[in-house]
Amino acid sequence: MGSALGITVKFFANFREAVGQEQVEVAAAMDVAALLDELVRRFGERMAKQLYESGSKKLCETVNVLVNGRGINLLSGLDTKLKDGDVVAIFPSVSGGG
Amino acid sequence: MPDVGIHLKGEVSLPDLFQKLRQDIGENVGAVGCFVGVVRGLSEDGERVKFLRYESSEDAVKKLEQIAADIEKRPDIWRVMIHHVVDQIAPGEDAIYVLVAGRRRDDVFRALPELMNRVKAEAPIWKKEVTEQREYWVHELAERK
Repeated sequence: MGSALGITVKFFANFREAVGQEQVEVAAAMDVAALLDELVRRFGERMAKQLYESGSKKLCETVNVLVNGRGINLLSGLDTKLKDGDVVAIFPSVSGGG
Repeated sequence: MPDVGIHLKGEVSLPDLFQKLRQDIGENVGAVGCFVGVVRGLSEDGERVKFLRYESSEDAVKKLEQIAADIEKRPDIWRVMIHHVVDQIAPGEDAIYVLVAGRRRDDVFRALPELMNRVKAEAPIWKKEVTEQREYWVHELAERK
């Protein structure tokens, strides 16, 4: 830690609306859980409601979190470690097509 | 090679894609099938739709390539094209084109729903529906049901 790089967090769809920005930089976060805590601290209850199942710290099943393009379900979930330069994407279930 | 893309409105059309597909069509091709996704004028709840606003991530093209390549690997499929419009789209306008050329009609008829089901489940594309009464993300509506 300590590099100026930090962690880039990209938001899509309703998360982008909740945040009002396409992406933010977070100086440091040990793991995904700590990063999400920081996002809730910055963006408040609306972010918490979109991330977590009601009244818990369990991520909603419909929320996708990718670290450098890989889903955290394929990594270590909320315990996935983060380092400077990582790019985290947060988005809901997809709904493309006609 | 699969042929895929994410486009703004007006950048892609079915006749252009069809013409491109026919230009160098393989000699073993006996069937061409196509699916066009069109924006409906009435929502699931019967509200009059003003428009749909699509949004995608930068990984969307890569995912479309992967989906198309998986199907194109089949020996009886010659070419797959998936082209999605990501923009503000009005009722009656096209949102997605999927074209498949293959050896027989059964190969093509089987591939089309598989391709569309995978696009809907895997491609990082979202849509917001704006009706005369309200607006909502379509995935949120689906999650509530």
